[in-house]
Amino acid sequence: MTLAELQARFIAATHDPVAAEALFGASAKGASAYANNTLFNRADALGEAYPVVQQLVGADFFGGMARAYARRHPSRSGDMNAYGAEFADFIAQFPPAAELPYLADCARLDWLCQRAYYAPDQPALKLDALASIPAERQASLGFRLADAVGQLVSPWPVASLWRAHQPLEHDAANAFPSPDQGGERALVWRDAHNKVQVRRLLPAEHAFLAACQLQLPLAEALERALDEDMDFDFGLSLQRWVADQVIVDFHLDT
Amino acid sequence: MHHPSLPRAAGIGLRLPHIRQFLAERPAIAWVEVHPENYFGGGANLAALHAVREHYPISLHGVGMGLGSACGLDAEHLRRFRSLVDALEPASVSEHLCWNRTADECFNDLLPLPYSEAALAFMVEQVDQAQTALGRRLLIENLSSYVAFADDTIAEGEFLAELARRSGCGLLLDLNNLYVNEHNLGRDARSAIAALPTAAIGEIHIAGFEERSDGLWLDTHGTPVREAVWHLLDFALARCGATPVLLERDTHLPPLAELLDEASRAQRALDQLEAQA
Repeated sequence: MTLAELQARFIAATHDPVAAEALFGASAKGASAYANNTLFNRADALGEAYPVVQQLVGADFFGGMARAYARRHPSRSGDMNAYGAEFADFIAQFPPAAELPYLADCARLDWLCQRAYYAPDQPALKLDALASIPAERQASLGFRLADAVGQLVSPWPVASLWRAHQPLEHDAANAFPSPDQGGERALVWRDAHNKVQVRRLLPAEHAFLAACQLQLPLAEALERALDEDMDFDFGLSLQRWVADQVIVDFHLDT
Repeated sequence: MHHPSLPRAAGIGLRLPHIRQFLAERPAIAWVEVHPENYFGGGANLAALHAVREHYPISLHGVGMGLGSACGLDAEHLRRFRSLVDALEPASVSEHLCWNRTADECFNDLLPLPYSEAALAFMVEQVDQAQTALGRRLLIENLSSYVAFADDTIAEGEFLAELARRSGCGLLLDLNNLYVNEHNLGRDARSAIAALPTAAIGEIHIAGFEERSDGLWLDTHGTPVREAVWHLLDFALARCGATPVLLERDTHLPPLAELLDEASRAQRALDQLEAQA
């Protein structure tokens, strides 16, 4: 038997006492501990990655839903923080969660936050580098967003729901929103202090950043933003997004 | 500060829930160990670890490489591990004598290898590849296991000794794992220790375990170190001489002060050794 075959038999034996007996003899009763570890390690990883979903449904419901996902979705990486990318799609199809139609989008936002938290470090954009672009090349300028940045357009008030579930932000301004109060565009980013932030975007802001994410030139991004809102203040928005490390680089198409 | 090797003193496993307090209080502990997988990527965790690194020697103790997986090493995992090694220049880098993956699934666990000549030859190759990819000598840790393969032909201590001899790796001697194996698998901890080449042992781990209702001991690192493991520490130190000793705690994390207090007992065991020398 090759080592690969033996390792495949090992995994099978963690779910099958008869197979375990054949492979491990007298120590076979220990085999089930591995299946259990795998299941609970995965469920724990989901709990870490999806804190708002867990608060919304409670630990017991979340545990059951997480283990149901863990049974069907293998991990691909030795890095457990990468586990659970498809949990939102799973939740959307999970019948016991059907009463909370906004839950899947809350999971999508949790996952964007998880990605933002572990995204690689990138240096901030220096505004004076922009000033040095020669006038004849300015038409080809486009902005690049940080790897940590994510956007979510939802028919539910996902950013408000997220804020209402942050432990230190429970105040009147972040009162629990009614899920029916309307949709939101959410921006996720990691600020200069490495804190993951979530904020609602106005339609024009979202149009601009979505165009940046598509690597469109500035002129095109501006046009899309102004289509949404003629009063879109580009200068002010750019300053804020650079300071917040939403925009971290630019490109000049040739 | 750059630390080319771990001090021959007691350290603690530093876990994320303690890291802010640790940085604020800067307790008197000689060194710390962390799991590199928690610092892959960037952001707050990595920034905090760099701050720790300014004041303490760091050991990177991998739990996700699955060196003995028959499908081979995960190149992306190695790349991310390497960039952390390059950024931190840790005093020590270690992994486990285990596997964790088949071609299409990762189990995120430390799964035992058979103790056979074929598995030994394979592990020697894998350790060699990993040491080359990371640009560092590795310490390889003996595993706690809940099963033993019925066809094993090599004793645990001999397997580790031979792995170190052939691959040039060092060894990380986990005493709790030996003690758990003694109970679960009927192996003898002291004869495993006696089989190891003392010069290869670069670090010792102590930790606690939990008992499953059917009597199986689970290596959860979720309880204080048992008396029997403290006795094993005295036994191992008497054989190896002064060695870096690490207190591991991964679940049911107590307050940081309790961990430091427990680690001070390991420091006393080391001090006593020195007094006798």
